[in-house]
Amino acid sequence: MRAPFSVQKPEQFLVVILLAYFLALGLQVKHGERTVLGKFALTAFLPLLNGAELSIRTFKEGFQDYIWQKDLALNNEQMQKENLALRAEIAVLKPLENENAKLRALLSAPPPENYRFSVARAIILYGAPFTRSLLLSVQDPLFIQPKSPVIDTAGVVGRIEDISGGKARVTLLTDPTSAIGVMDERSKVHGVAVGEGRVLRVRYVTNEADVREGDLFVTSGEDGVFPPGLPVGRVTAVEDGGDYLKKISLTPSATLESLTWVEILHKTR
Amino acid sequence: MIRHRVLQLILLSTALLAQVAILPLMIKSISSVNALLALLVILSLRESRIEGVLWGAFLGGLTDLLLFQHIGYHGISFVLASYFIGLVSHKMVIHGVIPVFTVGLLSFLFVFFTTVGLIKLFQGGWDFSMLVVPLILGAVLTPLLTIILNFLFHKLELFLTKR
Repeated sequence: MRAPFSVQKPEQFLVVILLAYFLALGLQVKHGERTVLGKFALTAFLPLLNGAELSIRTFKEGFQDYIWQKDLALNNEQMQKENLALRAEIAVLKPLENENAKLRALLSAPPPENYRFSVARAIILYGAPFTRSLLLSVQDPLFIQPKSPVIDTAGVVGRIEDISGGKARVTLLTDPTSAIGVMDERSKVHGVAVGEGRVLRVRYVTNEADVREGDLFVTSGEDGVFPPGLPVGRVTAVEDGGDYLKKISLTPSATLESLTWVEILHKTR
Repeated sequence: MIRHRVLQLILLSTALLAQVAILPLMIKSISSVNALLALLVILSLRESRIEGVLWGAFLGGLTDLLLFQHIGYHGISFVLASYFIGLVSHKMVIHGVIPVFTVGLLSFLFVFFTTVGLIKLFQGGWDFSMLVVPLILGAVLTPLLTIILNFLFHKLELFLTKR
């Protein structure tokens, strides 16, 4: 091809074009935006760019439409299957959510001083009306000693009776063989809470002692098993006895009938 | 002559299509792969030196427009690249895959660093660490594109000559 001008040396073209570009660049940068030259060039190339952009967009959109339509039926079927699976999953997860909330509450309560705890799962509550035991599944049986206190977020549950092969049997505080040193939280009157099946009876409290319905009895720590201050039960009935000792009935603070997770306390020293 | 111009137009359209549509679809990260530079290498190798420089001015300006930069960064580097390619091809025959690939690679590196230098000169600060990946991608893919376009040019040329 011949050059459009009479100039035949490429160096001359080179210098002219470079000068033009440098000038254009300098102007554009100085003004911080496209100069007249830039706008002119843009206008000149615009139809070309528009044409390219339009054809590409048409191609892309057409291709995507085809793909989408093809995938739509498959997606619909897949989503129906997923929907069914998710419904089933929700049905399974709902009880787990409740259990999770219980566990969180359990773990958030700090253990008593000089104690650490491990969490155990309650398997089954069993026994005759006057024998109240609970079977636990424990993760670290080596650290658990007989007589270790068992509590839940609401209060005392009982004490470990024996351990074997990752399972531990708990004598509940409502078992007739259970006796816990207790204290009225309000009046500081001491006594011993003995199990009576469903409720507890506080013994060795004189008729003169200040105990009222609704009072909360907590562990006194005198029995050497339970640390002091753990809720045991609330007074539901109180009357003076003929043997100079009060007859006090307690309803356990812990929800013994619906235990799922409990804490086993270990003495650290 | 008309057939020759038609051929150039077809190649220009192909390079534009590749630059605007195909490359952005294939390469998701920022890249400096330049199909228009690949076209410039072929045209500078095949056409006269003056026409090569004119193509450099046109394609460089077009690249700046496509990148929405100030017009001139690629314009200057493309013009210089086309001039040097023309100078080399005037003195020796460049034919075959490896020589074309080499010219494509050298042209890409020249254009890349000249453009970056010009941007630094006119606009100042620049985070050069972000240019490493585009540099590597461009240095591999632009010469490959050059070979592909060269092959296409050759086949189309044969096709049009037979007719």
